Amino acid sequence: MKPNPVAPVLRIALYESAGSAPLSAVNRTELLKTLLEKGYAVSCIRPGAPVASVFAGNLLVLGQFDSDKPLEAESADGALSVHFRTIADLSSQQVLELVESLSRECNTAAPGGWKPWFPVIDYNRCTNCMQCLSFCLFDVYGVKCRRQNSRSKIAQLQDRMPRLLARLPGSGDPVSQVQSRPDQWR
Amino acid sequence: MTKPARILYCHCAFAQVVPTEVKQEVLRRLSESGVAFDAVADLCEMSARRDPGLKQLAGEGTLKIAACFPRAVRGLFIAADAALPEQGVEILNMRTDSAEQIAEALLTVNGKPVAFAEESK
Repeated sequence: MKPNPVAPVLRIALYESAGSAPLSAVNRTELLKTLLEKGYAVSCIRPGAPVASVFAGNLLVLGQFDSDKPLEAESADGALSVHFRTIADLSSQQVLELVESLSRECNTAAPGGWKPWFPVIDYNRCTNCMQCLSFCLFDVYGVKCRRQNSRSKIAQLQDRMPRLLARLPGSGDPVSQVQSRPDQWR
Repeated sequence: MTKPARILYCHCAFAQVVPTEVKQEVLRRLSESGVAFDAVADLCEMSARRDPGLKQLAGEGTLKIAACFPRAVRGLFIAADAALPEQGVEILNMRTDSAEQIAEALLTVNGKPVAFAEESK
């Protein structure tokens, strides 16, 4: 079962092209790291190369703009709201606070709350073929953990295992997807 | 003149299966390169949430992705109903390759650098 699509998080564009002075390399790297660690996607816009287009939702454009920008703008069809903020003289932490403040204003989804699934092995159907060990790219299965699923191991699994990769191909799949609940951690 | 490939970098912020030193070095090299790129916090998280942004990231044209195992990355996009095209997508594995190898693959086309390091360090 797939979950319903959720509201996207606030998309961020770091604009360093015409009309905006580039950040120093050190500040740019630090800012990117800060935003990424908090779960925000960032498009670095520079001359000469494309980035992904954004057609809908909320887009925050950060830059050291040469001239005043309107705080808000909207696409012709109204599907995309664009927010401009200047970040000259702001530290990475101050930019993060600015981003989080705008995210709350726009009611966009808060990033980083992902821990919804973990795999559960049905030992009545498991044939010990060990295919799950070789199939899973996230190293969540081991021979010991198949027989001794401790709570700490399961908690570790749910951090590391994307929901979609918990399934092996074929109808004989002994691995199920179960929504995480503490009473299942045993 | 061929259009440069888009670059998509995954920071693996939540799954944390990519070695920290590799992803941070790749991010630093991208940041200092002067090229445009998209950076996402975690493709797994976006896929689990079926974030519509994945469709835009899959987009059109050639694409280089610095993330995880190619099979896993393609699976993440498929799960979010944003399947990557069969052709024109190069997936680089930060779990097995060095930062140097990843950066070189991202920032060169046919052995030539796509951008020079900027001066504003």
